[in-house]
Amino acid sequence: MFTRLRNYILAFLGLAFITFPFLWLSLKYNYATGNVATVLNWAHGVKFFSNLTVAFAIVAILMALHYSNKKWNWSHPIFLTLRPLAPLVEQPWWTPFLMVVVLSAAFYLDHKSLGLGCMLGIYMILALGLNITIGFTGLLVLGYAAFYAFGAYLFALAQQYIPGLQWWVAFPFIFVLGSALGWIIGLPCLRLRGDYLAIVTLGFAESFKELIGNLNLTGSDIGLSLSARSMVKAIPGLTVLQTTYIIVAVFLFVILFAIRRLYLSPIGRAWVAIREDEVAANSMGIDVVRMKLLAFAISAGIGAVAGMLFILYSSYINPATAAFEQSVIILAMVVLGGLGSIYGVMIGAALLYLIPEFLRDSQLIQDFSPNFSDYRLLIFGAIMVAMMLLRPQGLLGSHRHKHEIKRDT
Amino acid sequence: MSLPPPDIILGGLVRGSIYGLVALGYTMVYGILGMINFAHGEIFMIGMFTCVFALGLLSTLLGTTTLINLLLATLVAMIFSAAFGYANERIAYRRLRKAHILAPLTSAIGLSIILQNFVFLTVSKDNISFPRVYSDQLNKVAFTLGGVHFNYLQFTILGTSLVLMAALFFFIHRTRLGIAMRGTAQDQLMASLVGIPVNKIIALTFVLGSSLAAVAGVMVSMYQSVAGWNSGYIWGLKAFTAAVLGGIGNIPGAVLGGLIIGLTEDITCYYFGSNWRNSVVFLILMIVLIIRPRGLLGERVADKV
Repeated sequence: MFTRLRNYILAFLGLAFITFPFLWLSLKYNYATGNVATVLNWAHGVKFFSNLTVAFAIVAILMALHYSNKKWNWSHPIFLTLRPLAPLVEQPWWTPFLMVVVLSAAFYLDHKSLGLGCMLGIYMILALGLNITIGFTGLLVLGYAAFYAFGAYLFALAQQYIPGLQWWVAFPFIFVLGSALGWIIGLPCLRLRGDYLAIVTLGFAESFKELIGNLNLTGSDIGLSLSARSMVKAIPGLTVLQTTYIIVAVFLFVILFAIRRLYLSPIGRAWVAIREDEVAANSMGIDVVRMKLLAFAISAGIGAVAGMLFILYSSYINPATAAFEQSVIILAMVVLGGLGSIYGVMIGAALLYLIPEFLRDSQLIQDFSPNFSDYRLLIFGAIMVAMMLLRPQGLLGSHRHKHEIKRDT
Repeated sequence: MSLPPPDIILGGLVRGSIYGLVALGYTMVYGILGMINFAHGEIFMIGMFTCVFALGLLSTLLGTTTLINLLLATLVAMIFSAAFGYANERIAYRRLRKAHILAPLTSAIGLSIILQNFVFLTVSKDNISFPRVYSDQLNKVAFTLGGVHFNYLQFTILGTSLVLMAALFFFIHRTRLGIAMRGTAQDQLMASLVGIPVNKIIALTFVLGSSLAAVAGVMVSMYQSVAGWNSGYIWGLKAFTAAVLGGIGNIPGAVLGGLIIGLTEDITCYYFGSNWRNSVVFLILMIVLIIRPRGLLGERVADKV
């Protein structure tokens, strides 16, 4: 008991010491002499902590739960509130009703909520796509946003050369080309251990960002902007935004069902086998490289399609879409929701996209931390570390896993 | 297309030696744990910032601006980076050592995002500049060869890197701790059976790599005269590329890979402009992975740590 307390105190003191200069000191430059002075600045650190009040409050609540139950008790009511979502959406009979609700939302949501809905759908598609590589097959892809940007740029460029090109004509090509790109990127590194893939995809995303930022064809740093009206033919009686929302929702459902079918097919089982044990999978006759390439290509294709949907919604694209932050946000969605859990990653996407959006508008947050969106990535990082340490399978992971074992035996 | 002038070559070697120093941290951790230390680039960035903080403190306290201050500040940066490296090992790696390979990698990515944004939020959203009064003392022309100036700073960086690399090589091959590190890298269970404190040795690996990264960070911020919260990302990425290029887990390989990457980058800048430097580096990585998946010196498995 006391050694544990002592360790906590030591850890706290250590962290306080190493973060001291960053929190409590600030730099004063003297540009005439080129010298610098370090001065104590208490207000600096106080501001940092006060901006994080909300996050600390949430952590405090979780800690209180932790200590009231003596261990992480995930059957506690607060977590059970999440649970019912999984069996509900996993029942096949429920799905048509859900689809009707989601699609009819186009009629009664206001303009702002429809925009949120579109972006949420796109993020869900991205999370589902990334889940194929990271969740099913166990390949860490860190540059997923590059495929997203690739699809978006492809569609935007095609729009400029073929004016009035419609999405239903373009999307098979975008899917195939995105998959081909993923295949080419994956080919050299999928024979190696998983961590090389992480770096190569990261490097690819960085190079891709540089490429589209340098070429005049892609509008350099400024990016490309198109007119939404020429791209989306509005359904009679609906606005362009409502039509876009319906398109995104339909794509989400189609991709969701496709991925679910794939996951339950022999291919999906081969992917899971590779994730669990590559050597064993290989010795059972699974063509590991081919299956990995397939997973990677499908995932890249879905990312590219999400990029096309993004263009339909925002009609603007710039190199920042391929930035590392974007990849990290999608990765955090997959990790939070549960690696390999189809509905988990969708809930992860919903939580990580909607919570910051709501927090940004909330008056309470405005009072406590005026620039909360700056703190978003910090909190994402903390979530990633905490999830890996406390619950590596994600919010819904274990639930789904239990089902999987039952189904298999 | 003529040969690149000697100052480009020297610039490339300087850059490459810094990549090599950072790559050593990656390659040591990979050698001993078989995992990528993803937060290493951020440790490098922490070194940059703590050095500037320490310089500010020293020039206020001592009232002087001599090179001794710079040495002391580098020492402070090494200590802080080592502490951050140790914290990284304790938080993101130790408890996940036996978990699936993705778990420590993801937690390390999370930690690197935390560190980047922590500095972004607490220190500065923009680049901070390295105090000119110190870097100017080294930024003098040492000699001129064929109309091209060579300055002391470049030679200092090159010299420091080479000395540190040689010291590390000596440490790993000639000291008891180095032998313990190599033993741990070969087989953790056997090492613990013969009385090697495996946890401490792994922590030592992180601490050593981090302090090397801190020196590299100080030199980079001096060389470029700026430090930014996101500079650890791209430098770390390229240093990792260097480690893979040389054969990850292999110490001479990391140095060789670093020099190759640095030279390539500066020569690319000279011929094609600085807009394409990252793309060319990753193109090389892809080609190497296709032709020699284990890296240039990757076959010598016994030499790893």
